Amino acid sequence: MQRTTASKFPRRFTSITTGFDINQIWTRNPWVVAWWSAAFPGFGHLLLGYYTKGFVLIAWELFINTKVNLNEAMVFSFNGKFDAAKEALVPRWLLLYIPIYCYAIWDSYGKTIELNKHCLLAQSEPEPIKLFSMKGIGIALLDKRSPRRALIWSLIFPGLGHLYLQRLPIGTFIAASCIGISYYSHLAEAVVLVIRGSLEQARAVVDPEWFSFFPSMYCFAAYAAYVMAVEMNELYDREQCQYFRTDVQPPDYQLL
Amino acid sequence: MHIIAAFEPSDDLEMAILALERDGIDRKHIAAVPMESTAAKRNLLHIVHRGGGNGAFDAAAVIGTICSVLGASFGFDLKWGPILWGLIGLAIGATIGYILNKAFANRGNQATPSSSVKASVVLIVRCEASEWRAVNEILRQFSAISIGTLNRQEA
Repeated sequence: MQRTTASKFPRRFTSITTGFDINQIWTRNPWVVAWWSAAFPGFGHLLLGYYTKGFVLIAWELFINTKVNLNEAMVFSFNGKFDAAKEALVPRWLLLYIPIYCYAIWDSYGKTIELNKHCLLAQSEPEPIKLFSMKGIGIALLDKRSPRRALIWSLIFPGLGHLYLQRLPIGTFIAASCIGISYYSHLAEAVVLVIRGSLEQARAVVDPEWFSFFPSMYCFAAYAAYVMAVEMNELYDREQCQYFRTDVQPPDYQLL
Repeated sequence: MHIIAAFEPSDDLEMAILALERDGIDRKHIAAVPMESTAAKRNLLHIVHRGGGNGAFDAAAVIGTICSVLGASFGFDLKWGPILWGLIGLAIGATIGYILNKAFANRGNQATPSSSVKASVVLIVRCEASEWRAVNEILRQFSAISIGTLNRQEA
């Protein structure tokens, strides 16, 4: 099944390398993507490569959640304090939360299936893969990256794993969000208190509304850094194998 | 004679080809053969609706996140506080996800090679017997996985 496309204008491709970013799509499980959107609206879109949409959804979530006090109400509910939870919620904002939350989940699920089809079609023909891009603003080189190292950097501070993978926009956004969340939740102070052993004081200083953003943000950043490293390595392998097939196989080569 | 070496796709491999050319091996005498995996190809619709199979890490991350959020929430009422309970939840959840994945992934297709076997490239270099040692040394330097010789004559 050899299809030909004008080589200057490829119909389908699965990755792009710019001076400060590498964006790539691969076949994913739509349920996993939808689940990340449910954990935090916007994460599913970041995973798919819809960065702008993801950034907008995450910014909205940070804004509306702190207006509604939803995280605080969640913490109260999990601890059985249902009256306190009802008290914490702000009815003036509450209803505005729901439609966009549902949309983020629905949209990321559908988009995953769309992109999976696109991926399979793109890889059935020789897809153009750009190995290197240099612009005035920076350099991006498709290269092997250790998924474990990406994971560890992300666990040290969310966002660093993505910077290691040469994904500047998402790395910067995640790092900036985590710095904001850490500041408003008094996380850094609390960590120092925990290290010193003053557990009671640490618990008292943490703000539940802001702190509850952190676990899902932390886990998502680590997960995304790991899987992006794995897929980037596969992209590298595909690019190099294409090169070998076209350039390092002399047509008149005789083995014997 | 031919020297045949297995490599993982990497910049080192291209560096090895460059080094060979610098050492006087004609480019026409070098061939690289990317090896395709023999693992059974999945059904297209399965890939569209369930992903392409690099999901080994999904369960650990998903369950880890759930347990971390729960741990942090419960932690506000527990002595150790939300930070430590969040981390404990993450560790427990990720372990559960890892074990579940080990237990349920790859059920029923034991015959296919495991995904940990990486794609490889076989590099074939035609050279004179006198060049054998130099070529071997270059391939070794640029991290060939294994090296073999075809029709070796003693120099």
